[in-house]
Amino acid sequence: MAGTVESLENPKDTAEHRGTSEILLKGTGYGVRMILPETKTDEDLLQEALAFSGEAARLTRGIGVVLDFQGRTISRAFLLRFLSEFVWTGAFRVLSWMSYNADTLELFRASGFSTGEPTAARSEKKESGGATLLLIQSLRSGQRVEHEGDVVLLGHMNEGAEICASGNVFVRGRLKGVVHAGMNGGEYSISAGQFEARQLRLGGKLCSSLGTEMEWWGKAVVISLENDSLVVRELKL
Amino acid sequence: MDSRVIVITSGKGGVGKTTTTSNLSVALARGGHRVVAVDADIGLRNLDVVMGLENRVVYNFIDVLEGNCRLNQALVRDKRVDNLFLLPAAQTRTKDAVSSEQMEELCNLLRQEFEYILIDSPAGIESGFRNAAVGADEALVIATPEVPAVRDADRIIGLLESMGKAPIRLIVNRLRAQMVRDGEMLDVSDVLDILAIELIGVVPEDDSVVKSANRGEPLTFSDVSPAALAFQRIAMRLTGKEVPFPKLDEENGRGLFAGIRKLFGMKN
Repeated sequence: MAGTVESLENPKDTAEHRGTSEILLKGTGYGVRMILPETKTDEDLLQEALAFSGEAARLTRGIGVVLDFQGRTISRAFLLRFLSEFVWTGAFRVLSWMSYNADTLELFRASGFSTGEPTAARSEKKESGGATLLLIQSLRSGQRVEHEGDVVLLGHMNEGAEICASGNVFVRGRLKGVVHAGMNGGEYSISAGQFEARQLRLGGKLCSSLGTEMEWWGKAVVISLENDSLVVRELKL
Repeated sequence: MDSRVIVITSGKGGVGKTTTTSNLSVALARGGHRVVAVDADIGLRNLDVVMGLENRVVYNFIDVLEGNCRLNQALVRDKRVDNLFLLPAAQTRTKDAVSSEQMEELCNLLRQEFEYILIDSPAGIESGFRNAAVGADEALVIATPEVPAVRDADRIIGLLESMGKAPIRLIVNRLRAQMVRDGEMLDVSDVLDILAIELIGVVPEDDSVVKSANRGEPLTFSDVSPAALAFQRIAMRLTGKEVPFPKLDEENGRGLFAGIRKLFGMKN
């Protein structure tokens, strides 16, 4: 297995590499574009990608990566596997998920991933501001909490309640209200013991199409904004 | 005299606040307690009609607060049962006709005369609700097993908590056992799961409630309908008695006795 890293000064059209059976890395202004071959089986692609993340020289720590799946049709199951075995275990940052396959692109979008071409350098994480606000109660409909810093709610958050925080938000119980974490910008997270909210807001991102069809609906989750993409992880304690 | 001022509220309209106020007032009075039912729904009063006392209203509590009459002149005694009184609202005024301070003053006046002061709150969360609740010690929140009613009840509970009312207890009204069994209606446990307050009673859907409201005769004057029995159980729990919660079928009058009635071709 071999990968090539091209210099910034000598970019080539990615179309040249379509049809090749190897993962290609292209240097770009924002980091690296990882072109994943369409011809390999899902399993082979995953194994090859894992070999990349195992070789530190190929994907240096903290580097921004655009994952280009070209025309590959990605299933939800494979995407989850790709995330859990390759993306989350790697030391790199995914800047964007790209594909010209309409179904794959829709899956990326539905998953809250950034799908556009990165254009500017990502801003550093902003400081959340004040101290952590600890609330040992449930928030009922109509009750609103706004805080500069992190908010920890040791109770339920009912439908119609709102939390706006400049930092992270943790709801120990059932989350049915509206949470806006990182309201001043920056990459923060929302955690819930039982996620049942129809909408969430993280930084400048708004996700309003949540529902019972989501695999993680009703479960304990951590939803974070990473490299401009919403990433959902099941919270297993 | 030890007195308790209880506001009966819901947030959402049409869930049974006035029905509950009238039935609990009658049930408590029949239990030997001195009771006044206060209609705090200024401008949209109904409690007098539901209790069948509309023809005997002369003054209302706004008249008391404005000094047009004494409290005793505004109180309407229910002749069907000892110790039951109605303090009507003004129909020709609006919610802004009274202030919170005046309502507290009224409640303090009533405390000197009555053991139980049940205040029928208007729907909503504005000044009408706040005035109804301001003088109360505790609250009964009415919710039907429907998502909008539960959400509004949640909102009201939050406001009552912020006003320091305690205990705040829940009555689930108009429960239909068959719909719950069919999975088409929220179960009591679903409502409790969201609202997380103490349940004091469950009242089944019962056609006799409509008939009684039209006749001006609260159901708790008799002991026959499932809803009447449910209100009587709630009244007993209010007084501190331990009354077990019947099963869903029994709440709907479809328990053992209903089975016997059906066997003999009798209607529920």
